[in-house]
Amino acid sequence: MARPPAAPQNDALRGSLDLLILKALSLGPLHGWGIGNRIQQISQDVLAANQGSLYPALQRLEHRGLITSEWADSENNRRARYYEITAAGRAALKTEVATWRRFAAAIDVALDAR
Amino acid sequence: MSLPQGFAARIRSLFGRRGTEQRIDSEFRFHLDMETEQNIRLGLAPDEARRQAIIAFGGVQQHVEEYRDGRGLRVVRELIRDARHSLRSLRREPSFAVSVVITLALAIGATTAVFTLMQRSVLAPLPYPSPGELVALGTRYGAWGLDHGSASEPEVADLAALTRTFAGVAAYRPVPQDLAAEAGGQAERLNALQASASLLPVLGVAPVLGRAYRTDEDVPGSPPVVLLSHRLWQRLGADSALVGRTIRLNALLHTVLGVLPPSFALEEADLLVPLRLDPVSPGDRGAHYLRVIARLAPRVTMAETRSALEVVSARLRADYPENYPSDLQWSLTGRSLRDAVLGDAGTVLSMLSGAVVLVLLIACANIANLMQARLQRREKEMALRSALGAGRGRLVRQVLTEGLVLALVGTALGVVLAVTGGNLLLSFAPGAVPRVERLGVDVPLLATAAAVAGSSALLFGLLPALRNTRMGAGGPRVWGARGASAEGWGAGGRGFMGTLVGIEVALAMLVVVAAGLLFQSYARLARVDLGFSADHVVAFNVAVPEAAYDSSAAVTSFYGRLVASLEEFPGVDRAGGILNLPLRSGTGSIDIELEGRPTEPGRSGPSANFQVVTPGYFEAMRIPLIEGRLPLASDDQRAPVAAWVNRSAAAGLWPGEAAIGKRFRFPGDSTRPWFTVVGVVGDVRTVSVAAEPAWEYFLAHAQLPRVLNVSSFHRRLSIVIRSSADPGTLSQPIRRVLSDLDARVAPAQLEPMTTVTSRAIARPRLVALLLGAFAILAVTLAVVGIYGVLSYSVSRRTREIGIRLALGARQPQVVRQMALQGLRAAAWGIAIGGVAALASSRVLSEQLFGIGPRDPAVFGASAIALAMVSLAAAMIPARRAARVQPALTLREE
Repeated sequence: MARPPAAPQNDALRGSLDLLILKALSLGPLHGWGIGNRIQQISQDVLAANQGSLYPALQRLEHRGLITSEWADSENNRRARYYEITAAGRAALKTEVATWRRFAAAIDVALDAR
Repeated sequence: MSLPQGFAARIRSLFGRRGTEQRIDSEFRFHLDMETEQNIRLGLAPDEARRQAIIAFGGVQQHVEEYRDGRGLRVVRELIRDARHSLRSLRREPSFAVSVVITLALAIGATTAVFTLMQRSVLAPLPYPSPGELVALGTRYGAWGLDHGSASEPEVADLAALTRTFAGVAAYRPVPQDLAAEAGGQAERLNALQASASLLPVLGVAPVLGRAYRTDEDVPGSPPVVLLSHRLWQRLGADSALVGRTIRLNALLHTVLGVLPPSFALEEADLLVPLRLDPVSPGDRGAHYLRVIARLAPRVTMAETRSALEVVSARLRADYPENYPSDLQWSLTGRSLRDAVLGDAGTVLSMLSGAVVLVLLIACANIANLMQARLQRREKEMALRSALGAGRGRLVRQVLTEGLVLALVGTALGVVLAVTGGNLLLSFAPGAVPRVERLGVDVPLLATAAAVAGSSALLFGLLPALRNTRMGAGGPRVWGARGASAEGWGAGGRGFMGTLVGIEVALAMLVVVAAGLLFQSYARLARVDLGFSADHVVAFNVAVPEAAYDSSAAVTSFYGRLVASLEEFPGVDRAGGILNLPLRSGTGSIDIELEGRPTEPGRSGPSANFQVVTPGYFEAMRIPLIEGRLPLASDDQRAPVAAWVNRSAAAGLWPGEAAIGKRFRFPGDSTRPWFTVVGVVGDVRTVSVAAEPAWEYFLAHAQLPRVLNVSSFHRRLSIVIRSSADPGTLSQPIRRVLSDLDARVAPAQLEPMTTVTSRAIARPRLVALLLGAFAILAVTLAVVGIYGVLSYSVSRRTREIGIRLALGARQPQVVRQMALQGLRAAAWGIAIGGVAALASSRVLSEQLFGIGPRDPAVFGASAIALAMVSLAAAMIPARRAARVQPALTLREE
């Protein structure tokens, strides 16, 4: 039983999603849906579609030790998986933000170049 | 999340998907529920709210998939994927997969069986503590080619006195005992050892129940005691209360002292009884009948032992010149107990191991070639995958995985083959492999199979894998590079595949020569004239108990009545008895002194095999009378002592004279009676089929008590019956006659004489058959190799052949050229294999009978046979090449 491999996501997009998750979690522990909502707020609805892609990203980050998760009761008394940023996550966020800024600046320069 | 936890989760996610799935589901469901509720709060109808939530989430299945992808160990997942891929691509070429698996199963099965037998029989240590310290001692008579003979009582005492060399010395001899019947049943013959009390301490064995007999119970006149083997104890009901009770052995009540551990397996003994040597009057120094086992003193080496034995032997030769005449080259000898137990089985098994490794190598070469050809057919696929970014490691792994999958299936089949084949073999020739009764699937066997399979998978898998994924300077080889490259046959049949085929043929040549030599040797053994006719003869052993037959007259009368009753059976022609049945009982020799030729001091008199016969023996065995007369009932206690000699003895003892009327006697005492030769009979192969008949003399059973005061020679006989009835139907009547005569006496080793003669050459037959099977396997594999590679070469060169045919080449030319290609590899394989066989066949010398290890006929026939089958294998694809349709092939490209 072989499946076609899942289409690889654009690295830049994947990177930016990781960055946004870390950013969202830096404000406090959240469950998946909450993270999605917070990113939506931060990004002014740019990332509204395809909320499901959050979860592979969350898992990736957890494997890298940047976030942790545990099951807990949610605000409406349902079981939900809460994610929390780790110290490593905060450090990564810091460097990622710096890298992103440099990268964005470079893109701007390139786009403005004539 | 700690690392081990994460790792465990990954492992779990590989195998147990359920838990992961559940967690994914509940997390996703929570998300969708939250989104739905929010949509409802925003004013959507519940159904629409749910729909929108799902849309916003995106494809659920895709996320589950991707989520799962992030988990698990990538390497293992890829391995599993490789394995699946291998299975799928193998299924596309079933003939390839089937031929590889069968080849492997045969080679691995044969190798595993032989290696396991080797391991258990030869390499496994003896089941005693510190087995390396145990030695078997004995006597050597250089002049007779006897290297490890039995010892006499005084010699055992001499050995036991070497306390600086030996920590302990034990003596024993096998003496069959009749176990009396339970009420109503029949007496049973058991293997018993009469052993000194030191035997168990020397071996380091203690009874599992009860106790061993003490030294003071091992003296003449002590009450009869017995130790039971574990096997016999179980057969008697495995009752621990048996210890302390009595059983009736040879008509005497024996107290059961204890039960031996299951590991005790000396001479397959059922019983141990005290040897009871008389320390005051030890027996004759020349009466060699004891086997001796000793444990070396701490830190004494085998070399030191040998020199100590040599020193004491020299002293004894000087002290007892009448017993050890210098011309007999007598000495005491020792070898490790392991060597003594194994005999030449070690050599035979090593030889088989060698042959089976050759077969395995051929199989590996063959499979490597099949894989190579297959890989070259898949050149495009490989090039494509390489171009798409698959690293070399990935491609090598893919090829190796394929090898592994094939090896696994082949090994599983091989294990089945090894066990069934091995057991078939063992049942076919019981006792041919010492210490192994049957094979079962167990850890050591599986480990052997796995090791064999693993190393062969590496051999046949790695080689082609590395060759075919090589990245040259210009990247991987790409498609279009067609034609017979150096990878295939190359110019002189020397390319990679050609080389492998040549090696296969060379290895096959080695196996075929070995098989040919052993077959010829066996055929010669089977044709040897044994000197008697075994057809329609049944033999069994009888011994009457000393306790019940204290007079020689009673013994003589018993055997007289036994033979007479047997001859009354319908269909029975003749019956008779002999002391040592040819090819079964071994022999004993007693020196003689010829009348008119007294033995000089310091010289030995003539020695010949000593036999005792009853009337009817020679007739029953159809041993021809050459001169004089046969034994008669009138050769009794009152008549003068008559003797018969075989033809060799007649010619050797009285060269150029008539033997009839000559007299001889046992040496030493001038009052001993003379025996008069009254008949000369034909030579018989007594000891072994291969050994030339020795000098032999026969005395009449009824007259024996007059000349030799050793009643055990009188009380036991092997009885032979010639009958027109089926040998199988005689067993019951024989038992009935015996129990009618004396219910305490049981027949032992009751079997057709043809079984005896067949067993005498069972080992060489087994070895010849096995090597024959290996040779057929080797040749088949080599032929398949030639055929396969040449077919491949033809299919690759269809276009070239098409062009040449189009340009006017004639078909026979094409056939010749293609066939020559295959033959060239076969030819140098035969040459190299022949030279290697010439250089190494000497190792077979000891196994060969009547044929030299460099027999030109065998070498020539092997070479011709290999050449013929190689030609046949090459002709098929070569003729196919000639049928190439130029127009078609040219259009194909």
